[in-house]
Amino acid sequence: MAKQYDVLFRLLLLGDSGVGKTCLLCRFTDNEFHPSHISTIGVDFKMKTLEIDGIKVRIQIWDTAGQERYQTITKQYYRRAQGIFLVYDITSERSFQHIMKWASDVDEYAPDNIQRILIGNKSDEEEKRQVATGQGNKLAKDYGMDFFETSASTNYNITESFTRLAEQVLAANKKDLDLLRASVTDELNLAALEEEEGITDGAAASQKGCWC
Amino acid sequence: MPSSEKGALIKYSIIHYVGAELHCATLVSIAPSSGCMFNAFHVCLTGGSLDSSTLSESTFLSYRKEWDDLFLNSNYLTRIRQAGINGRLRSSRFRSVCWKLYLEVLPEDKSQWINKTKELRSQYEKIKERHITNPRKAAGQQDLVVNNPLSQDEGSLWNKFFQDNELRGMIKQDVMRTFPEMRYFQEEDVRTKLTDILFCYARENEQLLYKQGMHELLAPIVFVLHCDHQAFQHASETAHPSEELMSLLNPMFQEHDAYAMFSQLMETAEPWFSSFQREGKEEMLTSMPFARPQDLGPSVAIVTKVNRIQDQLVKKHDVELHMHVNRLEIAPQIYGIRWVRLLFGREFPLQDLLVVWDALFADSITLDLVDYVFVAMLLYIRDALIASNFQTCLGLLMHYPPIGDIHTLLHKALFLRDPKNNPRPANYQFQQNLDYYKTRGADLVNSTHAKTAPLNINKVSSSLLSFGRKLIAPAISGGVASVISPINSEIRSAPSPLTAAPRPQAEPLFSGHAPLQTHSQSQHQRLLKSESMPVYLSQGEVSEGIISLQLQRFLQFVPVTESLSGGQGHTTASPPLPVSRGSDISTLSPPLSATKKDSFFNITRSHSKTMGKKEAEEELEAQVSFLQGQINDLEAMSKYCAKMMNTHIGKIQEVILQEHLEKEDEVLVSLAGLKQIKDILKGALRFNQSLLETEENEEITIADDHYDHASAAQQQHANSHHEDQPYLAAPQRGDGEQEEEEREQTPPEQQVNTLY
Repeated sequence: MAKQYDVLFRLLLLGDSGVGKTCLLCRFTDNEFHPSHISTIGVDFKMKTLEIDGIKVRIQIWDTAGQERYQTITKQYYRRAQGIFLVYDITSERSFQHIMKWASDVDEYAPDNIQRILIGNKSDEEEKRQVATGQGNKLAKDYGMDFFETSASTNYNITESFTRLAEQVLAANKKDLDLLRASVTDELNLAALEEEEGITDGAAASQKGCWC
Repeated sequence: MPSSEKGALIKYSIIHYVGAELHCATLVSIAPSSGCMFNAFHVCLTGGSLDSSTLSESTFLSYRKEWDDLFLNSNYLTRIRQAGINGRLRSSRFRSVCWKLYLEVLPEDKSQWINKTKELRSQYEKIKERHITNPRKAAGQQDLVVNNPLSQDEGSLWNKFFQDNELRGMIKQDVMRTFPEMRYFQEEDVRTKLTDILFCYARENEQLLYKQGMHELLAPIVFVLHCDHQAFQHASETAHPSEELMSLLNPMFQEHDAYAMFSQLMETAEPWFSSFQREGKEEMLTSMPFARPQDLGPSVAIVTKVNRIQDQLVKKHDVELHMHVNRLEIAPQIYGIRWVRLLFGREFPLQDLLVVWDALFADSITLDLVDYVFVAMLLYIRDALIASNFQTCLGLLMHYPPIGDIHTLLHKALFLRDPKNNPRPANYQFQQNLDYYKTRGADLVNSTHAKTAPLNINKVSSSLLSFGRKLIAPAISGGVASVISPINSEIRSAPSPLTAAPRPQAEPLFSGHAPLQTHSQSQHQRLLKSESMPVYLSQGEVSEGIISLQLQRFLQFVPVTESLSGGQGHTTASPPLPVSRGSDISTLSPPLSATKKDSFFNITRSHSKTMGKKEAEEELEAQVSFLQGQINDLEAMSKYCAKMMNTHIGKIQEVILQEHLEKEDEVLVSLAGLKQIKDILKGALRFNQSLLETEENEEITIADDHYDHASAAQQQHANSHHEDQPYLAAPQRGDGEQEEEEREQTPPEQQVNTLY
């Protein structure tokens, strides 16, 4: 089996209930949009593979329930994530104010070199806007994050923002990345990277390594 | 309920209905399964059994009769509890009344029903009045200094108004997203009812307020009330119902009744929604050497609950599965929070969900059965889980595959909780296991054609089939159709696009076995369905690419096992695992791997360095788990066969003794022979090789030199099976001394399994 990807990232979607986290994710992974989605209970996850600079990046995106906060499940995922989307809804001032709360959770529980990106979703609902683009920009600047206004409904800036965060995570791990590049020619090594949790998927690779 | 639509639901029910008819002997209890899905549908089906000319008159009679059957008996409560547990309320028109009794909204004493109902309704009336008030209306009664829109005063009605608006907004957001595929929940007045009930509950329970998920506990209650009200109105068109009926099923009070039922349900479910942290767990944890990340920190009730289920119940009933999910570090709260909070609301289609709730509520208001349904669900997909990696496992758990027969699942849950007082249900795993043999056989055909391995494939496949035939034939002729029927009915409802594409892969194996063709095909279909389960991850978009990928993945599993056994020859009957001695450590100390995973780059790098060994170990472990699972299944199967044989032999013997036949002795000797076989199956009688030699086996020749005497299984079929299939040739686990012996035989890997 041809290798499916070179590296694997865990990204996390955070933000208040109803800001459109699940919709962003569905748009990104399946290019679908359902105006009436069911609310996420606990967590959910989806996968997608992107190619960045010739490296196949598999991203595992964890979609959290807006109400869950860190008490129950999300906490252990903060620790394992490499990147975080902080999502608010441009038509909800409140969801924007809560970004600070989410960001402080991230500071408290996530690893130090975690990459963050700020998303103002529902940009298509201009007539209901409560948060100006400038406000989003300013907050992002204060936190040293990139900022995108997106619309899952019209598919605006979705791929861009996901790709951007993936690039940042790659860049943040530049040193390891160089090591990876050095080994790109070495097929055996690449095969070894194939599957982090490899049991069956990794069977092909492990076969080469140990049964001969 | 996933993205099924009205049409799909109806189709589903009909499929069930057809299935029930075909297997009426066993599935009669779910026959008119189409219950009260939609009004029109409901009306035509509930009266369905009646002659159409007298329909209108007899509708009420049958309605009244159903009522009398349910509630007129002096011991009625026990009886309706039993009905709920056994899934007999599926098409009932009084499900809401039963639920009220289960949830103690109605007292057992029927003479109190009307009074109690009135009392609860007026209570809700008052609650609603208290909380859903318009502050502007009451403004006149308050001082303007306190009561104005800009007042920061806590007691200001305006302040309350703003807070209420926020709470209401939060609730409304979820209510709008409740069962989006059902038209009923899109109606504005239904949404208002849901919102008002949840709002009142939140205001009455300020500690908990509203938590996401409550809306999906309430919605089915409201829906069941609605269905019963519809049925009541339909039935009472032609006759005048009793005062009792009029009172209990008055549609005017749907909201009131739903509130009462929901509040009672929440009495039990409340801790599962609470984020209150119980402190003091840290101290306990410092003494736990192998604490995993999810064990650390203060605990929330729901997290404690699902962890207890996984670490105690799952471990008790399926060690391999427990090991597997632990090794993959799948914390139960990832999937389990939703399972428990919504009482499995997203894991089954609504029709089945209501049956699950019938049982949960009927069993006990403490919802004690939840834990065991949880475990039964895991066990149902255990083979697929054990054969899967992290991502596929998560996929299976978070997008639970469609289940064939919900009743069997519930029986399984009851059996798990109390095996003494509940019959052992038809074993899903047993069927699935056969499927596994078959694909593995099929895969073997493909891979060995290419590799010309030293295995006689025809022999393998024919022995597989004869094995299957031997197992299946008695089950059918013995009238144990229940073992088969759930599977068949499932196949009928299986999505054909999924199964159609990959089937040709296995076709060659089954050709030439005409009598078995149909069955093996359907078996195979089912298998492919379960194998392609991860396809559901892609949200209905069925692409052939994914399927072929799945197949590819599965195919790859086989050469490994094959070369493994091939390399070691057939000298040992258990998978030889010399490479993996070191892996006991990694299995037993999760923290090691946990820290590793903190940075993925570390993992991948270290992976590539130690790849050979690490992956080999993981691979072997997966295989061991898999084989262990198969052994357990075989064992369960043997026990089952023994039990059935015992029953039938007993009957035959009884008849013969009464008949005083001429050649009675001969028959009795034969019966004794059968009893011996039964004992071998049961494990009570030791199987040995000499037995095998005296038996003439027409299809399987035994290569004796490969045979490892000490690890002989107790079961002839399984044994001959093992012979031809090195990858299955693990020791059969037995009772008593035999187990001792095995342990010496078993490689360290497996000892860990059994001791863990």
